[in-house]
Amino acid sequence: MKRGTLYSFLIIAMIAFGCENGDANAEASITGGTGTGGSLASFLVTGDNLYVVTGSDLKSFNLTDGDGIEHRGTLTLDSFLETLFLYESRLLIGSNDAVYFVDINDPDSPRLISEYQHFTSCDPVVARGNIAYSTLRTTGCRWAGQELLDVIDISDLNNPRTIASYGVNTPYGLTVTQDYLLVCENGGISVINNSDPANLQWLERFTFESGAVPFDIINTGDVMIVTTDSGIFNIELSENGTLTVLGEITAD
Amino acid sequence: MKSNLIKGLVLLLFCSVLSSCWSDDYSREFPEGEVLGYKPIYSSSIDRNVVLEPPRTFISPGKIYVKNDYLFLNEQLEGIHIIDNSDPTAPQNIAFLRVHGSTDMAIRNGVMYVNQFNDLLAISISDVNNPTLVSREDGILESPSLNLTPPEFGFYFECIDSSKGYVIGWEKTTIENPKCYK
Repeated sequence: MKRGTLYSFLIIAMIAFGCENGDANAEASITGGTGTGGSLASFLVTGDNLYVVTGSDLKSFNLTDGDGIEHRGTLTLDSFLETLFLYESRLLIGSNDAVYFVDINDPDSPRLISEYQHFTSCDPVVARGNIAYSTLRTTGCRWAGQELLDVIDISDLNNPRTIASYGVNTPYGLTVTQDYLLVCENGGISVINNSDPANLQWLERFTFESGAVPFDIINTGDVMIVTTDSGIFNIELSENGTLTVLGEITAD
Repeated sequence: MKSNLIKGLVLLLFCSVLSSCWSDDYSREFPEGEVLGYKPIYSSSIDRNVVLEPPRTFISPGKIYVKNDYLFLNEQLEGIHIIDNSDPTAPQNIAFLRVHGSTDMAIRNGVMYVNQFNDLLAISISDVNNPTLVSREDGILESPSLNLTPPEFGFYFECIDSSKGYVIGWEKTTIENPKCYK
């Protein structure tokens, strides 16, 4: 398709959808700075560096404005690496059998600080205020085993230790806000009071009317963006922990 | 590597206890005809064009990246849905950026870094209506442990035919008369 035709299509599409965003607005809001991936992200940008987990490798790249990508360092670990989370200038890496804590003060040579072992499963990890949360899923991932939400004390990163483990059902991504822990599990979203990490309280299990299965949640501050097997939802989290769908795009 | 050996031994021990492990798959019977499974993608088949297209319906949505009012949603191994989320009550699917083999992305200063299988691409998106490929690093995301078997357990897959090149990824699709399983 010719580019001209494509532009016409986009313009028509924008008019048709009543989109009032002009190009000027679009440009202003997309350049400068970095954005946010979910808890399942395998790419992460911080400062002038891009980190990617691929196979058993954590690779670091130096980025320069325009087109520069330079591969600087590789840290090879013993597991199949899956997810990246930035926590106070450290990387938390979720893998198929451990959570790794990695020092990136020298972005060119990421250094392993410590690891938190669990038996084989698929797990993203997030953290806030010295506490890390990791879901351990085996459904569609490894043979049958227990699926867990682990709460880990990381106040001493050299010595991460388990605070508590909770049974969950087919967990995927998760996010931790100021007041709550939200976990995609059991075909819905669990809203969990985490004010006492040793004694999590399940408050609500939210499900989509359409039966969409949530995979990951990004907390943008204003809204929660939830990815599912059929599309994306914008969700509002109220102060008392209830979830309300604001808008969505799903497959027809 | 030593710890890998230990893990292997632990695994063997585990498998001898649990009958549901993959060790008993040696005696697995393979189905005749069509079945859902994984098919290897060979290096010779990459579509290297990066093209902005009209919006597409979501089929197999994967990873997401949020940058200000925009959402970038990966359509697994196909490309990236570009969504204007400036009004959270009415997000708009505005375009599709075709990047064959993409699975994840991140953005810095108006440039999107995205994989095309094991290549790393830099695409300028400072004007989302006109994304431009500015850099490509061939094979830079290759890892020795990748691609020998499908990413998920519990599926049949088409056995690798090395005469077709090296395997750069796996596609979940209908396959016929598979002879491999993981």
